[in-house]
Amino acid sequence: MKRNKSFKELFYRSLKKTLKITRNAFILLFLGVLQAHATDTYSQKTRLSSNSSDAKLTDVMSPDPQQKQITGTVTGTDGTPMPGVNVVVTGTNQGTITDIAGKYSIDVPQGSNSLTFSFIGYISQEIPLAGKTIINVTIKEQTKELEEVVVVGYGSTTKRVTTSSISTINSDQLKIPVPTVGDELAGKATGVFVSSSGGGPGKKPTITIRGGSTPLVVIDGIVSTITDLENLNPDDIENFSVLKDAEGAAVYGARAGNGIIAITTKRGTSGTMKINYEYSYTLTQPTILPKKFGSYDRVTIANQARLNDGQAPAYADSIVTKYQNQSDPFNYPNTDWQKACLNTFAPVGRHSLSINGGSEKSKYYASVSYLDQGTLYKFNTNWLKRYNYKLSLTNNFDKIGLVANVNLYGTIETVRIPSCQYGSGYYFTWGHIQNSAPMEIAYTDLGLYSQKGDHPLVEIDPTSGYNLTQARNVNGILDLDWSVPWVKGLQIKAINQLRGDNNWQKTWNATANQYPLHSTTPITHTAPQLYALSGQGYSYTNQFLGEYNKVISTDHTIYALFGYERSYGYSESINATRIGYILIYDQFIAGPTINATNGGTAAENARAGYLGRFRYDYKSKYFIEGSFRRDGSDWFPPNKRWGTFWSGSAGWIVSSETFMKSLYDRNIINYLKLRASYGVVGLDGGDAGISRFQYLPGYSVSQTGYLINNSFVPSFTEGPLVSPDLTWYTQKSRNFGVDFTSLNSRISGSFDYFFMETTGMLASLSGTLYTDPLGTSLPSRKSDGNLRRAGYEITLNYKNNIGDLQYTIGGNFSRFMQMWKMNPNEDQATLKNPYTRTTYQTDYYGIGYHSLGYYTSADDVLNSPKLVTSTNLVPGDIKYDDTNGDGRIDASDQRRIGVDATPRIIYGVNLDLRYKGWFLSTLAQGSGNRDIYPGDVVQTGQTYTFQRDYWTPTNTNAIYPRLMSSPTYNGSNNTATSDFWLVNGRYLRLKSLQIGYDFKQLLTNLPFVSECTVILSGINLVTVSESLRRYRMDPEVGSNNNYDYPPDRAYSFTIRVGF
Amino acid sequence: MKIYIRILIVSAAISIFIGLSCKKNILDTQPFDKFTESTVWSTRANADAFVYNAYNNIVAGLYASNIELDCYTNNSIDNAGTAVTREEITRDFDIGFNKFASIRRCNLIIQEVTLSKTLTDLDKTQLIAEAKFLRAMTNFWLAKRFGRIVWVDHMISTDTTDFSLPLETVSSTWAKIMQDCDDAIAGLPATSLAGRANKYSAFALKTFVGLQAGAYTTDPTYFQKVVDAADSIINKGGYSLDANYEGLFNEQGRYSKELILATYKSAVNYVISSANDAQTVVPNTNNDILKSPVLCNVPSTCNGKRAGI
Repeated sequence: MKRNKSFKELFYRSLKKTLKITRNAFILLFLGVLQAHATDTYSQKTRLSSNSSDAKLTDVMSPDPQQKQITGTVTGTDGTPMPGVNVVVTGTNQGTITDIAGKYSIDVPQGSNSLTFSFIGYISQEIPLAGKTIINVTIKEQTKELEEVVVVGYGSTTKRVTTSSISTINSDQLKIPVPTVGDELAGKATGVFVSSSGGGPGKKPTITIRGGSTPLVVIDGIVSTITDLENLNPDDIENFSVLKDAEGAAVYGARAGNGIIAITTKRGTSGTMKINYEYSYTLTQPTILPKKFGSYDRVTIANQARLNDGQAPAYADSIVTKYQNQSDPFNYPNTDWQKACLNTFAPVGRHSLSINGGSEKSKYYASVSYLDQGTLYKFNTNWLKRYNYKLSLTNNFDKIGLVANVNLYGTIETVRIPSCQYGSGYYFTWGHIQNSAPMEIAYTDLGLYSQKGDHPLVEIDPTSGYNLTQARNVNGILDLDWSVPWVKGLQIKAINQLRGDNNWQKTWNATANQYPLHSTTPITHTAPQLYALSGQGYSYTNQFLGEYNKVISTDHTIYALFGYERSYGYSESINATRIGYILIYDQFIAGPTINATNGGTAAENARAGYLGRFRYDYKSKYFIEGSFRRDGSDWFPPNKRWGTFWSGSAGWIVSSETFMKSLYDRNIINYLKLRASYGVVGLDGGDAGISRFQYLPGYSVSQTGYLINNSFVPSFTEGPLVSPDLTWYTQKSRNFGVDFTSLNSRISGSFDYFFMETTGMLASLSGTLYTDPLGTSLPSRKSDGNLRRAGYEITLNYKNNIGDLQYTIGGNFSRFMQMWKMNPNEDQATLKNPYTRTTYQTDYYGIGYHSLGYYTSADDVLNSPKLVTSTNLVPGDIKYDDTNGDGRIDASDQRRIGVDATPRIIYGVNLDLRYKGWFLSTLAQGSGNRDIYPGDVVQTGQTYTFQRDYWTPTNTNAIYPRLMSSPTYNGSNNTATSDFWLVNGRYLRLKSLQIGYDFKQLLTNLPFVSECTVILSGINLVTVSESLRRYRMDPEVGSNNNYDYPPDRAYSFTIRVGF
Repeated sequence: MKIYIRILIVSAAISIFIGLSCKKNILDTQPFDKFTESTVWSTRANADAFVYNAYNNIVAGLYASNIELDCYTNNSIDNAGTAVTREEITRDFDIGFNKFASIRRCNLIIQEVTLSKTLTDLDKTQLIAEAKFLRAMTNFWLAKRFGRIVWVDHMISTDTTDFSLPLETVSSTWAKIMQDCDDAIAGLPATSLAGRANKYSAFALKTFVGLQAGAYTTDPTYFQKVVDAADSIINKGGYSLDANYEGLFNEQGRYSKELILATYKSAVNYVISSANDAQTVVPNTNNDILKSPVLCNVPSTCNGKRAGI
């Protein structure tokens, strides 16, 4: 009892305290906003001494006869006025900032010599007064690439200092109007492999770093999901880093093996309030929509096919004539399903608004954006709507050295997908549009939907059902950054994040009415069912970091970081289903309670870790860096949770050496840095092939286990046997790199080589040995498995200007290869077969036959080895290679064929031109060899016009074998897995082309307009690929049978205004 | 200034509060989707739930998921049997030898029930008998297909180096299955809920097993055992033939006196697409052109018939 009471007291006290804290925090925020506004207005109207205390402010305000007023305008190199530039009397902290028109006015005390003009990202200038009263200044942007802030794990660094392999993407490169951030990334940075599979609302491309699995995503220091990254508002991104090697990743320990994408989002910047608004309207269409046969073509080809096999025609001549002349269009129709179901373009609209400003003390940034994406479908029943919101408030308590940032952001994404008894999703609807034959009618003679099954129009009809998913999340980050006043260089940071998640899904599979010919009585459909799922969850992350920076006698710089981090997440969901609706109303109230079911789940997860980083540099020339993480992961049993991961690296700026001075002076080498890193990081969880709580023996339960006495009884199933070796995979990673600039820093580039080796794989001997009598799989044990991956990356950029024309040409190239040095899941028989084993083999597509083209003559058929299962072979069928020469073709003739389906090479080339207010920006992007194996419809169907190119005695170079009544007629000879069908899906795309003009130049009478840019963009305008040529298939198609919504080509209009 | 210090103290306090108060060890997370071994074998109801899984796997899974061996005869033309009718059976053909997972379920019941400290002796007897009944069902299914079985009557240790076990001889195959039937008869209750085995289900199984055993071992004593077992059912089981034969297979004869052991389906987990048997007995689903199929040339009027292409 007593214990309870004291606990209660404690609880109330802490609750009260928490409420008080919350109240204080809100007051703080509120004051912050007010203050920001107050100082804004103030600084515009009067003058402000930067870093001023109140006392000084009044000093400045009181007129002083000793002072002299100086005025002027500050402009950028392009002649535009520069607002917000700091103008300070040199050597004092007395100053002002320029107004919206770039004008300033400052009172200068007697005896002052000069004014200093400064602005973030621009070169500071000191201008002597020399008795002038009007001083107009042009300030220049810094050539700042090497000093550019690069976000890394638990902090930031600069390109000059870092010894790690990091790709960065400038936020202004993320301006292509595409639905997700992921779509922006292709071809922009080395080591980032982006591959799409199909298009349409809700599709997100796959992103990997150096060919790994899904990378770890860190947004504003908090580990997030790849979906969070994809859904981010690209306008909110400030810094985008890809940490590719162990040095960058090791602070993330057991999760670092797939590389890190680290992002920081925008915070407020001091200055007058800036409002930016952007709207873009995009029309998308498939990159290619293969043309389908009409019904006359289909029936004649079908008859020809049967004729070839000595069978009676399927369609009598009289019927063929009816298809040809369309005299009876309802019984012998010619339906163009693509035309019936699809519009020419699908619309995408996007709004984005941000507000930014504040004083040195209190800054704010707020943004909202809205994306509305539709499809080509005739009815607007398949769409995605996404809202992003963000509010960042930064308060600088400079007296005590504390910077507090509150960051609230989140996403609301709603996706509607049509659903009915014929299915739901692109694979059904898009597939049915392609599969529906032209001999089937879409509408009856009364204009109603025909009774055809898998009727794509019925599927997308608004009266059919839907699958609606809504995901909402809200994130709050409180970031306290305290520069300890009495220890110079010491910063203590506490970053706390809380996230809430809400998911809602509702699936209703009603089917729109369909009718027989001449009838107004609909046919009977399967009674619909309603399913709903509601999920919610929360997670939090706490980070406590200490950072220490010290310069000792100008030559030695020391940086040290130590921190503790932990995170926890909990989620639960509940779902319900009612089946057999009699009352067609998509609510639970209308559903039969009989056979209604429901279910639910709950899950929790946690992580913790101690991390550190140490860096030392001597004379900014020699760098060494090391980092570690002692990582705790709840994927493993209590005695195996903690592991240590580390990295070490070194860098040498050769160009700073005196012996390089002559090269530097002649601008042959302006900068040259060598880097090397080595580290041991981990892969845990799904990447280590384990499932949650696999370390616990357990039984799973099914509530509909068995029917006893006419009612369901639950049943238990034994779980997998527990492995005593459960642990993360270990990845040893090496990286060597060179960074350089030349020709007076106009050309810059870098080269990286990496080699990584993953070991410690778990494998069950049941995969390779005979253990059947055990009745289950042996638990997985630590194996000698070893996967190697190596590759290199090159970036080159050239920047220059011809008069007012500024241009940038850039290129990046990434390549990797991987190989099992020892595949622990390969059984002895396969391992000993040099033709099919995976061990010691780099990228290939799969196992299959080698084709030798077509049988050319009856003699050829008779005298060549044949596939044992083949029958009825004739010229024009595919001939296979008897690889082992035993006179017959069977499984022992199969060999590795082709190259891997995922690209091993990616590259991008960009060209940016700027001339006064005009700009043109292009990106060409491509991939290296990657094989695509077409599906059965593309192989053996007679659906698309390009499939008419089949073998005939007069067309022996056809892309298709001879025409047959059925693909199984010759024992499926032509559809055996072989390199005949493989098509190289390597491609080169004109990924984006943007032309824009900033009308601000013409709006000089509207000085409050800081930007008014109109941009025309084209995305995926041109694609070159063998797959496109041969099978009319986009290389990034989602389904090899053309069943998936196709990748888009887009035309976009964007207007961007700033005030 | 004062307020700043206060804020600082407050934020430090928050950090410490968060740092210390939430959980002793944040990594001690729990699964919410599985049951521990001790829970499963602690009560009769829980142990029954494991047994039901074995029923689903063995009685429904082996005996009620296909038209049995009929598809390998000329009685029906079935997709599963096309290899037989086309004489394409090779030495690689496996009709389902690996049923060790089913046997493991039975042995796991025997092992865990024996070890349980909370189950009563009666519960133990009945559960072990039921496990042996299910094991006999599995081995009988195997013996009918392969003639000989690999006998596994215990949980094999994962430390075993060689998992290969010998095939029993024909006579010991049938003797062991008969022994399991007898043990089941001894331990099972006389009555049970519909869907679950009782003493007479085991007698009935024994009649099946005994007939096969007698035929393959040529040991005539098996036939007397079959007669005795059948007599027990007739005289003491309380079963009788049902005039409504069709009703045995639908809802009319759901609890008919003719049913000694049945597996049941409900609308919740049985939809028309699950009725594979009905589909697979349709002839010419593959390329067996006994007669050129009647193609429907006007798809709008096909009504489910095969379209022309």
